[in-house]
Amino acid sequence: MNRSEVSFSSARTTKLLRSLLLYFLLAVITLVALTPTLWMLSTSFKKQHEIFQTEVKWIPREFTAENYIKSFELFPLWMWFRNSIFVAVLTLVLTLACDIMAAYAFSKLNFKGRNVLFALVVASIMLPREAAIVPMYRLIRNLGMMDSWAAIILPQAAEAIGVFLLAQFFRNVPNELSESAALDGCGHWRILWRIVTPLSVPILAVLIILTLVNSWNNFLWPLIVAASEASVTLPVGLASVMSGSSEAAEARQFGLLMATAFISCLPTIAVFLVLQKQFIQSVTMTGLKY
Amino acid sequence: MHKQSSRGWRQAMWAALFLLPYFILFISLKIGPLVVNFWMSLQELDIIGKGVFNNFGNYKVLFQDRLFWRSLNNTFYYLVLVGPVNVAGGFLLAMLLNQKLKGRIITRTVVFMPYVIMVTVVGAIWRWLLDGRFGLLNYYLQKIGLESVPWLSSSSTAMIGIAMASVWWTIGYNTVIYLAALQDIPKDILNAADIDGAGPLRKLFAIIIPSVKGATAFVVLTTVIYSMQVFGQVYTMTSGGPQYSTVTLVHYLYVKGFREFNLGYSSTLGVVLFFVILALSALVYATFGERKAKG
Repeated sequence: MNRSEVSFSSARTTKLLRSLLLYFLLAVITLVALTPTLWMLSTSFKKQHEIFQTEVKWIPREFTAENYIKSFELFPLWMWFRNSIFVAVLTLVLTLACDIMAAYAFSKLNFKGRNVLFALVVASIMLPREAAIVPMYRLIRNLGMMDSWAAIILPQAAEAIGVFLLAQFFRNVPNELSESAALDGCGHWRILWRIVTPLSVPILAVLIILTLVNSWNNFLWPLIVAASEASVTLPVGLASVMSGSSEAAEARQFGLLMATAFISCLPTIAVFLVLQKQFIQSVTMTGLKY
Repeated sequence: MHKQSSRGWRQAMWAALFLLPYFILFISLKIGPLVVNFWMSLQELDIIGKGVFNNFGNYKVLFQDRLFWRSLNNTFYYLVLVGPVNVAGGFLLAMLLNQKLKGRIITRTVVFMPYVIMVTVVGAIWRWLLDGRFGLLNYYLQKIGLESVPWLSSSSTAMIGIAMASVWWTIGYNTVIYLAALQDIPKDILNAADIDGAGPLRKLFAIIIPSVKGATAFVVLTTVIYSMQVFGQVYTMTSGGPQYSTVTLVHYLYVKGFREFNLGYSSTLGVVLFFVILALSALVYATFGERKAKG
């Protein structure tokens, strides 16, 4: 009797200890993961002399917006923003238009060589883009597209992941719907846009998020083709602030750098916080990297 | 019969029409360049003008190019630093977030959030965090009585600094993949194990790890492929220095091609990247595919 009481209470203690430990871990991980972002924010609101101090203060002694103001004065941030926004939106429009049509062909139409072509498209998803970058560069140059939005947009729209995702989804849209539409005299064009596409909103949402975030964060290719305010996007612009000698005056102005960095990633962070569920779904559904 | 074939013909016409816009892009900017890249790797090619075939000259240079071997070595070193932490850490984080704990959604959000941040911002933040004199990390290291480390300005620690930034940036991705896999394990299997009196360790190795094998295969594959392509962190944090200790394969490819405009040689490095990734992917498939066949 006595013994079982003891073991009962020790079992409870173990359970309590276990959950204490787990909560402690949870708290530490949350703090560690949050630190870099918070430190960026904290630094961006500090004055220069407060940044270079041996004693760390998380809350600035005097808040200042001067880093943000200076960032807009020193760098063509509005131009970078404009370019990033137009590139992302146009990439999205082109990707959706091309991918929806191609996916319909692969999932709803019969033609010779369909499976081989589809396999080729799917296989290309995992292939490294960097291994094709020189011919891409030569092509874009020969077409006279250097330093333009088109140069950045077209290669992104050539990515195959959207075709794959949509084709998989379209396959599960019942054929009876399109067949009855066909009897009503609808052509494939109308079946595609009036019936299949509206039924595919969940997968379209995933593709929209993937495409926009990918485009917003795309770095290596824009770095190669964008040269001036006409086409430089935020990631490339920020890199230009940092590059050159890493000890250059501007690169050492961490307040300015953190303010510019924060402005650049604020849109994706904000959208992520609002649409968190969809973001995480887009990762788990597709198993995809942005 | 005649009607049938005319219908098939019409479908093929529609298919061609629907595929045309995408395939113009796909062939000219995706598959085409990959193929052409092999051809260009056989040429001496600069920014303007036609290439000249140089009898495998690029490959001959490649084998004796110490910086190339260095970059390959550095890339694998990066993979060794990031890969295990990202895979095992992602799994452990997912295990923790799979417990019924209050506030775990907040932790999930916080762990995943860096993943949506652009790489140049990641580089900027970490360059500041890892600053030798005023960096936050060194500040706390000293607080707990350790020596401060010259992270990015020493050739022996620079890659470790880049790896830390990468883990922070991408571990949430693996966590989310594993979390989804863990939640797919049927509850009654775990309950049955409890009734059988299986301890937590036994449950982990006999049930949980085998159940998420598909996720592991996927996470390992993507971690390997993307580690081989590491570029943005290097570009923004160290530019390959100090003393070439962080030059990676893609960074070298970029410098050769678009700083020195030696495009033919850059293509050759692209070919190497292509085959390295192909070989490693095959290795991952072989490892996980075989076990699947056994199970």
